[in-house]
Amino acid sequence: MDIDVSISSDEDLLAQIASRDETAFTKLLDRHLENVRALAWRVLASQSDVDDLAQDVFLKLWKNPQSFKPGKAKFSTWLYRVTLNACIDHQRKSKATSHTALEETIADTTPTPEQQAINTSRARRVENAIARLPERQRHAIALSHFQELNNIETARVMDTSVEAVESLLGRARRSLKSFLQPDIAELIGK
Amino acid sequence: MTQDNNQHRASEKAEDQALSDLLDMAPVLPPSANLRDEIIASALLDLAPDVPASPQLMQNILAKATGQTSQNSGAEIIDFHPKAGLTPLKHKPAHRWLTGNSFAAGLMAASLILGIWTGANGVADTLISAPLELAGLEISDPSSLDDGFNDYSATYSLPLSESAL
Repeated sequence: MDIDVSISSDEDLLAQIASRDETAFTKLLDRHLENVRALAWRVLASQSDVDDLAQDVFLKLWKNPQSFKPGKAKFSTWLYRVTLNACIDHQRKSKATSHTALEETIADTTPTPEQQAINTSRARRVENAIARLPERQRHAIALSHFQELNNIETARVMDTSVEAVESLLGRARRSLKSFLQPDIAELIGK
Repeated sequence: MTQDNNQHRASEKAEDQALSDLLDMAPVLPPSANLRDEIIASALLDLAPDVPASPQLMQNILAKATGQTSQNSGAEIIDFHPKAGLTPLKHKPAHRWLTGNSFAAGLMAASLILGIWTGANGVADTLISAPLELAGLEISDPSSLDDGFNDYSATYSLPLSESAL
């Protein structure tokens, strides 16, 4: 029995998706769905909207895989850009950035009751500090720190220059340090 | 001076590291149990074939509607024949009677209003007599209409003084 152990590139999968290969679509979905959800969550801060948005992004990709032009950027970079633009459109339409769902999720993901109390309050402070950032700074932090993109990739996703990204990240970190000063002082033992 | 700078840099580096650690403490989105399957199901639904276009269908419909024989051998229009025993619904006699009398009553009310408004009794009386006849009310003496509208009771064909009794 032959087992296909070759790993198709994203571009190969897209070519197969263009010929309506649902197996290729499933593979691409498994590879990128959680990243798309994670980025959308950092930007939207609402779990229900996140899933709707992720679904829209992937169904548009399924219907029109040719919208990605190989050679211009990595597929993942392009996909993040599509996701970020979808988030921005969504926010402009709804203008609702409720953190209720986020707080519920924090409570669900912490392990023990004692640790839960500490982690939940700290996690909530961190999340609130991120939410207080201006939109562009928040996008830069989400892409750079949470999606672990380098500054060049972050600049491509945000459709801006590397210098602008560095500036956004610098201002975002200064603001976050200010918002989270007590926690930082506690962590470094001041 | 250099020592201060070094201390400042070390402190800044420690703060940067602490900030990174704090950001790592930010909650992680739990995986969605059904989203993957929902997306795949939606994508597969998108594969379902559309209804094939029938360019000759409209021509056939038009040909049938205008009584011409379709020249196409494509879609055939099948005549609709209602089942035997099913006849189109028609108004029942009671419905027709009510409709006719409603119309007559309407005419009568309109002529009464017209009579009051114009004060021209002759016109009003003529207008009144027609719907009364249509409504099947008997007018024993058409000349009584000339007695004046104010003395006339359209309801009972009696002078007001008598109908009030």
